[in-house]
Amino acid sequence: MSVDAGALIVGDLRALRRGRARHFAPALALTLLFVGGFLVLTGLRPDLWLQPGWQIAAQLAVWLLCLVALPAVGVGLWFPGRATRAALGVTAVVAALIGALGPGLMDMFAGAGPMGQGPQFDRCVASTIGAGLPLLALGVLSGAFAQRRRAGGGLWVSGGLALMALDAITWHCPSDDLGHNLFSHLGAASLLLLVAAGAGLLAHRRQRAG
Amino acid sequence: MNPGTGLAALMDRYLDGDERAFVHLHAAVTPRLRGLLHQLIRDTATAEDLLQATLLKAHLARGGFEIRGDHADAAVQAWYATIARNLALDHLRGQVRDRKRRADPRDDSDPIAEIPADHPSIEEWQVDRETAEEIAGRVHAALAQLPAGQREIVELHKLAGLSMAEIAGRLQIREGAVRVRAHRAYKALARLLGPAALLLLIDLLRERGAA
Repeated sequence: MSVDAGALIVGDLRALRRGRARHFAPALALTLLFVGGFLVLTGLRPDLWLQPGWQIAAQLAVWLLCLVALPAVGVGLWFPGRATRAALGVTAVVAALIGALGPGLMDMFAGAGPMGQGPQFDRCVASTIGAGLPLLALGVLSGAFAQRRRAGGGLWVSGGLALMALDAITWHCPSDDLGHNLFSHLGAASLLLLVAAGAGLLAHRRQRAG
Repeated sequence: MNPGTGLAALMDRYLDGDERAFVHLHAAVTPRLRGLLHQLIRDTATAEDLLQATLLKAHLARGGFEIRGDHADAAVQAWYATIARNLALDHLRGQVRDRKRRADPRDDSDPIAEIPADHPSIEEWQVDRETAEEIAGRVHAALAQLPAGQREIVELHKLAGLSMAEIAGRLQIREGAVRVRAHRAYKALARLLGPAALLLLIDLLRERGAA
């Protein structure tokens, strides 16, 4: 009787995915521990649950995306189709903007938002970068950036890291100043995204080359 | 939902470990491969066996797949077709040898010497399934423990059959670096599998990787 090569290959690919999941679970647990520790040490914003419902919903969506969905795509645990990937990317950007800026976003569109602060290096920038760098180190050391054949897979992990740092600072800092949130929260997260993408690219090259 | 459109997109995702993409790719390439094998081998059962062997061999050598040229989908078809054709030709050569031997039974040459070391017959593929799974499990676990770069070199060298110089060219690193990594990889495999099992692995990979 002939072997069923298709079934054997599917079994092999499933074993490969299970192996990746075994690496992903402890990394997720460490990340949760770190983010939880950050929020406990720095303190949650006092008005966290007083924010508009849609803003809280956007922030929770960002947590879900950055902790599970984006890293799962990045490390090859989930292979969504092109349309789903595009939807994930757009949802991540929109949810990040809504979650981080809240009502200030509406003021920005109306052209009447309070812009008390321009670009400057303050405590929130340091906290966002500070929260992101250990997570970036964890990603590099765990080999998260080298799981996919193409270096582009690391961008999903980088996006997850940047969103995590953004949501962490949003849950800590109670500012509703559009300028502060735009530059010190979103700006710092964007900078972290660039750094993580660069580090991820290097890690991919080095780790894939052995 | 179909996870991708063209064969190249499916192949790309299969190489990343997407089993759903493999199922779609399998469905897309199998009819043509079956047609090709039926053309070359007139026996339906043998052609089916060779088809399964083609898929397994392609899976083991997938780390070495690379799209060259503008026609990505055609490159995927061509890669599978080349493996199928080589297996079919090996099978036909074996048949010719058998016929010659039967036609001249007084031939006192050593029949074992005529069996090519590098080309397994189809019967060799049909090893006991449990044994094959056990070996595959041990080998898979050992290979998975190697760093990605070392694993890639073992696969390119032993499965795709590339020389050290070809691997260096493909990975754009020095040949010396390839040799160092290969040495480290085989040392690590010897430690993980034991020397006897390593010899078995190398034999197994050579047999399965002969293109």
